[in-house]
Parts: sequence; structure tokens; C-alpha cells
Amino acid sequence: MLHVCYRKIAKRLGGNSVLDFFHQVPKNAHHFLYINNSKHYLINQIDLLFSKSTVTMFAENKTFVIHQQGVECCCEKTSIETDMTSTQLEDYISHSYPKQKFLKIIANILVKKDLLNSDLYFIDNEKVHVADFLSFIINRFDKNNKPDARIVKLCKALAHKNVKFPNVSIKNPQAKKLLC
Amino acid sequence: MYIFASSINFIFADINVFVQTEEPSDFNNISNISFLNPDFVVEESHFQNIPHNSIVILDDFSFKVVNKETKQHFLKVCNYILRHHNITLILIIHNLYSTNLSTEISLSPNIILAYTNLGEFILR
Repeated sequence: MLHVCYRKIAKRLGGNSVLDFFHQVPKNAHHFLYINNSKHYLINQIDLLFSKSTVTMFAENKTFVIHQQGVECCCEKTSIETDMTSTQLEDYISHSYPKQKFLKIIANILVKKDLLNSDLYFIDNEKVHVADFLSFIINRFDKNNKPDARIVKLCKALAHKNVKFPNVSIKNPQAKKLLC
Repeated sequence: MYIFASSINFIFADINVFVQTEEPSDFNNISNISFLNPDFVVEESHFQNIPHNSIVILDDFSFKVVNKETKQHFLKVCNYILRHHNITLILIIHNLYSTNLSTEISLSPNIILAYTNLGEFILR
């Protein structure tokens, strides 16, 4: 009976989201992914568990952060950091898109949900800057051109997190499908 | 790529470690280390001489002879000897098919993968 077993490790542990978790670390980075096949969880960069402040764990389609006891969680921003991110984002929007009043609502949602780091890149996808994201969602004439795969991936990740934006604020039809 | 067949939570310093490798210098930093003969295979008879509560590391592991019998020996060691003698078996492999472990890998309770195309292929 054992000879008819197939691997399908990802399928057993949670499907495509397991692969997304694996892809969070760049390929050929000299780190390792740990899979616990009996308890069904994964830990990214397991070799950094005792040296880095935080590592991430995936179990039952949820991601967890593991860090030392007594150390502040990296995901919790101080109010000063949040205010700075908010101000930076508002400045950018008011200068770049002075007529797009609804973008302020999007900015508020992004800041409130702690989706951006201090450089205004998305925490979940550090290759996408908020400027690229905003230019994608307000471009209503983007039907024929193939959108940037990284931004589509980000939109899917936001949809997976149940982050919703008002219909009126998003012009791009593809983004509308995922984010409204 | 490492396959931890028993447990990952161990401290090398207090445990006897038995290693089969062509590169002994890679294991210089491990104390209590003993090197196994190149003819050591995963069979019950070979594991009789391994003390309880120890770690066995087989670097560049592959089945030298592939038939039903060798696979049965391997499974017997994994399912009985390792469990009852509290031995941790660590297999270090660099690919999957030439080692003939494509079925057995799904039975391993602990797997460590590198972030490479092969790692993704195994996970898929």
C-alpha cells in the first residue's frame, strides 16, 4: 500500500497558500523551510529561529509570527510610526492625485490595517510600492494591457485578507473584481 | 536538503552522533561524533550496534540497491527501530529521484527544504 503514496505535500498542508508562503522567501536565499508533516505546519527560515527576532509560521491557512517572549512583535507599529506612514501617504496622494478625493479613503484603510511599511512598500509583498498600487487601481483603461503580475498577486492577497475598498474609489475593472 | 525522520529538537553536545559521509570535515563542529563505514545501510542488523537515544546522519543518502526488500528494510527501521530505540535518523539528500525516496519522503514527519526549484517541486 505504501508504494501507491504520492507526495502532494502542499495539498495536504493547505493547498496553494502553502506555495505562496514558500514563495515569500526569495529563491536561492541560503535559508530553509521546515515542514512538520505530522502536525501540519510550516516555518519559513527555520535556521533563523534562534538568531532573528521573528520568523513566520503557517498552519491551517493562517500565518503566525514567532518571536522571543518579552520582545515587541515586529508587526505592531507604534502610534508615531503609524502617524508618519499616514502623513507620508497623504502627502503623496495630495501631490500626485489632487483631484482623486476617494484615494484618501484607500489611504486610511491601508494605514488602519497596517499593510504598509515605513517606506510605503506593502509588508506582505515588499516589491510593490503603494505608488504602483495606486496607479494600477485608478487606471480605468487598463483592459487590454496585461497587468503587472506582482500587483495582481497583491490584490489577491488583500482579497484573501478580506480587505475591501469602496467601489467608487477603484477605477480599474480587474482591481474592482478583487477589492470591492 | 534535510529529512528529519524522528525529531529536530536535540542538542548535539549531549548525544552520540553517528555520521556516514564522504566529507568528514563538514561535521567538525559536532562533538561526540563517530563515523560509520561506507557500507552502512538502513537495515535492522546495522542499527543493532547503534546505542539508544543517539542520532544517525547519512549524508548524500540513496538506496544503493532498489528493490522491494530494501524498501521494506528501510520502512522497518523507520517504523520500529527508530521509534523503539529513540534514534533520530537524518537523511541529507540533494535530489529526489536518483535517491529513490519519492514515496518515502511523504512519510517523513519532519522535512527541511532549501528555497530552490527542487524544494518547490517537492512541496508541490
